[in-house]
Amino acid sequence: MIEDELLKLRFKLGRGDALRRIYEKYLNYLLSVAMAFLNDAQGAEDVVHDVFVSLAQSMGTFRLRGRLKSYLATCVANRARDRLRAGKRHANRLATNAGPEPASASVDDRLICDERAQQVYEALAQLPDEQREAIVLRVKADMTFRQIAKVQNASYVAVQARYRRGIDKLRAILDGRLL
Amino acid sequence: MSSAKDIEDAIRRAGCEAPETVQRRLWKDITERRPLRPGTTPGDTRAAQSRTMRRSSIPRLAAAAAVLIIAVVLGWNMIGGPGMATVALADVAKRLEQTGNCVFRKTTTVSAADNVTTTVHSLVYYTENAIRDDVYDREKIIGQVYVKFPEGILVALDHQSRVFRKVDLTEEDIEGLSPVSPRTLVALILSKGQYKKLGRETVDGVLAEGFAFDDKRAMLSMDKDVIENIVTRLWVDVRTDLPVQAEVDCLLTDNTKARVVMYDPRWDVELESDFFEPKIPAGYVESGQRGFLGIDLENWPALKVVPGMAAEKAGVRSGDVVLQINGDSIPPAASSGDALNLLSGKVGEKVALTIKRGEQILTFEIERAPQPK
Repeated sequence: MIEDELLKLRFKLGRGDALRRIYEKYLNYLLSVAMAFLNDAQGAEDVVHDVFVSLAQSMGTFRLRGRLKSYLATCVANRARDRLRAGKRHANRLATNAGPEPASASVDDRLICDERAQQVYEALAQLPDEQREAIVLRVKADMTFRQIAKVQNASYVAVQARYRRGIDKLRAILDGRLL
Repeated sequence: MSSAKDIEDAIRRAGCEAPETVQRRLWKDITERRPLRPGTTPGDTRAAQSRTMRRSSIPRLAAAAAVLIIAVVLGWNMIGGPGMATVALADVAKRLEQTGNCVFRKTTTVSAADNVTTTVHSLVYYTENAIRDDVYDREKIIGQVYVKFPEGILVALDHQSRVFRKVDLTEEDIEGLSPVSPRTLVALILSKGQYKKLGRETVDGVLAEGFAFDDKRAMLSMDKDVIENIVTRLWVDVRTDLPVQAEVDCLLTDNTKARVVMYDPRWDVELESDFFEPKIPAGYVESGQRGFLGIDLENWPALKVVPGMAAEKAGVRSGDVVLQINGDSIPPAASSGDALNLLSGKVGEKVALTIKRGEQILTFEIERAPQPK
């Protein structure tokens, strides 16, 4: 989109309002990508926060040839992968369903996901990391298999296979449950 | 059982929303890690500036002098001309004229005044006498444009609607095609127009020197009077004197914005001469002869009927679900693109549509009509 091209340019020129606009435009999208990877609201917030902090630090020297949306989704994917590998807690349910809330958390201070989205995130959480990543990057970030192969450092054929197997598993998990 | 497409749609739709409290909290955390420049949050602007001034021990005049010195050292030249960097650009022009074929990627983004934006990604093959532009959607070629300079013809193929078009080109049309092609770049460099040096940057991993031109000849196929503003930026590999990236940003008087970026070029590529011969697949219709049924496939396999056109006149109604086209059953996995291929045809040709409407199964014969004005 032309707006993204202009945003990239203004961001590179050091315009703080460009970062704000990128944040407003992509926050919910990136949170949904992070949720698809982690199925953990707190983890999703942490990952997206780190992506924006890193982005803010590159203001003025930023140069991106490709799509801003894909770039941001890849940043989220990389951090989500690091988080999973570091063995952080990978909840199989959203924080809202994980038991008594801490005294400081209020209903207004949590991500809001509808029931259908919860089903999808829970199903994705049951896939092996590489299959989940291939699916999220393909479907949520509109990346090609070749681009995903670069991110995963795998062959094009391997990525396609991961994608197909992951989709088949999701069909079995979600069969009849999708609204 | 859900199809793969159902699963993909469900994933695509699965979203979450950060309430305002979460948005504010996250933004605060982000900005406190890295202070933003003034202008981001109006209330903070003056506070941020006064904090910076109190911390700085450099008097204002000395700071201004430092900026001036740095600008001169970098060769920042706001009003340039060929005499300031003749050797570098002349070498670039010479190098471009010496190269043979090239292949590069191109992204074209057009944003109309009503905020409708389209972006097109292409792989462009360029040789002295021809251009071939393959337009992609993900990894699929959805359109192709062939230009043959000596013959002065352009052939455009739309693989989605299976339509092709042939156009005779004027000399000015030819000069203006692919605004960031090597031919145009050489013309721009040799035009002795004003330019500005942008300094050096790493572009796609290559150390490059940048130049900015505002010559309207970068968009030769366009009436100069409709161009409000245009800038062409050229990044040249300091080692090879060949471009690594070129960008054209154009604003028209009707507020339409266009941006064309050429990147990832490969120079002196071997390409067979028949690579540039347009190949029109069987079954494609020339654009002027394409017939229209007056149906929208947005909700495929359900139809949306365009009022007053052939399908409605034949009795088709919005919401009818297609079961067969010309007697052939539609496979469950058929997409709207597949349907478009089956439904495309010439003016005057007929198509038989078998549809389901409630409990009824009905068949309609529809004659394709000329394109409505």
